[in-house]
Amino acid sequence: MSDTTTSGDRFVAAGTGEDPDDVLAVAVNAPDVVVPAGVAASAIIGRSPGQLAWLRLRRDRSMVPSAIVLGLFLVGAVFAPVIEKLYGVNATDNNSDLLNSRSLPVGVNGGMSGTHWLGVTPQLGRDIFMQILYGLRTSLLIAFAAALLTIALGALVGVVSGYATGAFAAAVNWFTDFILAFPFLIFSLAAIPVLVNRIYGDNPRENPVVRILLLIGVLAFFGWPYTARIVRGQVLSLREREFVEAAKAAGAGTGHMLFRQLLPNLWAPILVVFSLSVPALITAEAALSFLNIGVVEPTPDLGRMIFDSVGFAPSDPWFTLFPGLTIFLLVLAFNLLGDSVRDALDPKSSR
Amino acid sequence: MRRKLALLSIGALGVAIAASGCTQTGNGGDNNAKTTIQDSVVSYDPKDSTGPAPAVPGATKGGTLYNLENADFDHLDPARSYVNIQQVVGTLITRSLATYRESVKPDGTVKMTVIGDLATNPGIDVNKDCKVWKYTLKDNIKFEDGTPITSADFAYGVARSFSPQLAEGPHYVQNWLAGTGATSADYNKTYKGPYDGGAATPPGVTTPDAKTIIFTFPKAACDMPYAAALPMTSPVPAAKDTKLDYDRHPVSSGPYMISEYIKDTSLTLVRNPSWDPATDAAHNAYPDTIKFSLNVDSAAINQRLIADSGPDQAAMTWANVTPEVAAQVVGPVAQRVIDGSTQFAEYISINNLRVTDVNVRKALNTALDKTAVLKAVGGDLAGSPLNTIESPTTAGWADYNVFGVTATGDSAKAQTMLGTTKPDLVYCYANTPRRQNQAVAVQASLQKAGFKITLKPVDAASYYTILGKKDNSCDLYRSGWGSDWPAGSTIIPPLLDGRSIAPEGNQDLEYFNNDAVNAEIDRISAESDATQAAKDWAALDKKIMSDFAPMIPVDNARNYTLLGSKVGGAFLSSAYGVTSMNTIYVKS
Repeated sequence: MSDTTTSGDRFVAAGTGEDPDDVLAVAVNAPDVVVPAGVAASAIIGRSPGQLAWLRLRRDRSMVPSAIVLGLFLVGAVFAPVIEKLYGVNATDNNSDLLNSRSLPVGVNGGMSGTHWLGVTPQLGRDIFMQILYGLRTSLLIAFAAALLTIALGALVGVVSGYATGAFAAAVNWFTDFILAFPFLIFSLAAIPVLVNRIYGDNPRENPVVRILLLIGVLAFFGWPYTARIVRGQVLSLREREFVEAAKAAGAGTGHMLFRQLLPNLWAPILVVFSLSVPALITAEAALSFLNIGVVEPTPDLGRMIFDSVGFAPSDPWFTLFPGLTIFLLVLAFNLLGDSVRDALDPKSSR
Repeated sequence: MRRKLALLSIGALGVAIAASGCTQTGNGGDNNAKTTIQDSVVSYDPKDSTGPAPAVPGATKGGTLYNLENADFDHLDPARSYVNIQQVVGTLITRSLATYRESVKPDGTVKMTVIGDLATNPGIDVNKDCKVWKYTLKDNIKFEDGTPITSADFAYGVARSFSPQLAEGPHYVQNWLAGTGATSADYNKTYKGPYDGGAATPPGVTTPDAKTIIFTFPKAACDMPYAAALPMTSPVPAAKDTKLDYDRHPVSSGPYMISEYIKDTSLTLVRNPSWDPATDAAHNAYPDTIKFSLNVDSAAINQRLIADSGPDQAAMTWANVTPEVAAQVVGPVAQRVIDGSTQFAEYISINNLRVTDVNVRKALNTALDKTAVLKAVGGDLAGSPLNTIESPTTAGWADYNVFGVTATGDSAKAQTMLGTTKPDLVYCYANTPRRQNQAVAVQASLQKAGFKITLKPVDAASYYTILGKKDNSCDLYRSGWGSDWPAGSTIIPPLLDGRSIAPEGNQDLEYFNNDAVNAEIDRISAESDATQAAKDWAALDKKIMSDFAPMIPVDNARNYTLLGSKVGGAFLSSAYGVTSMNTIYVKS
């Protein structure tokens, strides 16, 4: 990790020393930026903050492999139905004829074959490859949706509470702290079954979409305070800046101050929080499913798949390996990419 | 023995991942367990009922036996005990009027003999009309505090089993005394037990002297010797009756008494000093102490017994080997398995109040892939496919295949039967990983035939309570049943006699009620020739399935449990369908 941090710091040092958000132009004399021989060092190229960030990101060595891994997972998840057509096997098909009389997959390495590339699951004989693709789809959908909601809510609350003063700000902060102190898993264990029962009662025809929305809601409910705190901190320092006072002097209203003056200056920390909260939400969703309060059958889910497979580790290790490996790579890649994004956008922050 | 304890197998965490280069799994594995029809006689030979119990060759007395279970016994109170393992533990503590003595025959099968336990014989049919049954108590029988046991204690035990508070147990004798149908819920309409001012002796029971107890039934009940082996005929001292709390410390009349019982944690049984082996022809009672651990995870139980180290060498369990660890039960470990078919059958009950079209019920029977459903819970270690309502261990059992399909079902044929209709049904299951897997397999198999199946998880602990409500909102659900004694009379009447249907607490989970079937049930119940009755029950079984198809028989459950290497004298009880504890000993 120290490698990426130093590269970011070095680049800033090469600039004007200003906060990168305010920098309009930097001297291109960083060591690994190609400068044609003979061109005078005085050549100044104008770059936007976005271009700068992109340059820093490109130089980060962990970015490329993690982006490739993520790209593959994203393509797999988004195009799962297409892949299913080409691959010819359904995720929820039971192939009990591929299991032996003790319901373990017949054949090499957990039943790997030309038709079932990663083998089939014990007991039900489902195709592991398709289960993982659709499981990724579920995980990523929930994680991204929850992350967006988290960011939107967190940014809104953060900006308002940072800019406001007096009793109102105190109340919002108190509420944020209250949610932060709430035990997430215990609350979920208690609340999700109750909510599902409340919505459906005796009606068994549970709509899988509702369960997914519920999970997104629960994850966002517990996620927003983290964003709100970071955004609030930024706003507290921004609101003392000259441009804010200038806008005030010009007679700008509160809405204009919050959303036209302050928020545009916050996109870097917000993007960083977003990129780091996605992997956290993926694991949180998997944890809920592992505890049997997440996505229910027949929607494939990585957390539930891991739960089902753990007991089979001694007898059919491949069933445990593949979903575990998938979620490990997914979260690792997201975290590394998130770190890269943070280093690129916000190089001064330290970990 | 009625409903089997729900297996709440909880996945094991932190199991080491085996380094595996290239694993190859063959098609092999065990074949199905051997099925033998329950071999049972009622013995009036005084020698059979006289103690001590025949010695087990090679057995040694003493030591501590361990029993690892994943849940507490809901009830040890003899009036409330109805689950097989509760009764196996129960017979060590509270003895009944009669009991089963089981012995392993040279061919490995088990012979059951119904003998007198605290009584000198399994019951004398005084007038040869099955209406008056007389029991004479043995001499020198005492409670754990040394008080002699008298006939009044038995009368009180039966009396309290009428109490609405203690309604969980079997109700055969109560119904016979009240003159209501054998499986009716009306047994305590008039007499509600000794609590709240009721008499200490129920109507129909008389105790002419301290050694004699007589049951007088308005209608014939020829199965009384078997019913007397149920725990509700145990003596209970009225002075020590703690009502609902009696569960925690039933007063011992058997070889062991409770020394410590910590709810959901452990139960320790020690020798009852007042027990005289000369009065007991069924219990060898070899170990000095029996320690039950009641909160061990199923996976941990199996891993410990496979590892077989330390005190676990003297341990047993009633928890079946789970599919996850089945592959490890090979070689010397496989020598320590108690294996065999039980009298338990598993069905998918069809709610006949909701699925009223017999053609749909027949199509369900045709479509279901029983092999896939079994594989979802462990394949042939869980059981073998079944077409009949009666378990293959039932006397007189005759196999049939009225729908003409193999165990894998025939979805194309079922689709033809359905034609253009696409029934939309709800399958309810107990919310455990095991039952969820099974539900998914049921759904996949039925959807292939054109049904639309919605899965609904139900709280596992209250599963039978929810489905036992007449107005439940489920169309299909798994249910299990085992005979209370080896006869069709404890299978078809409790499951399919529609006159027993009540607003809640039902055993007829199919909610099936047909006058012709009810009349036939009455006719066979009055049959005095047991062999003919067995044949008639099997014929009725086939008639019900071919004409009404009220349920889908799925499999005959198999017992496949591990023992520690120092446990001897264990065998699969034919009466209870689990490892017996009467002849068990710890090798020294």
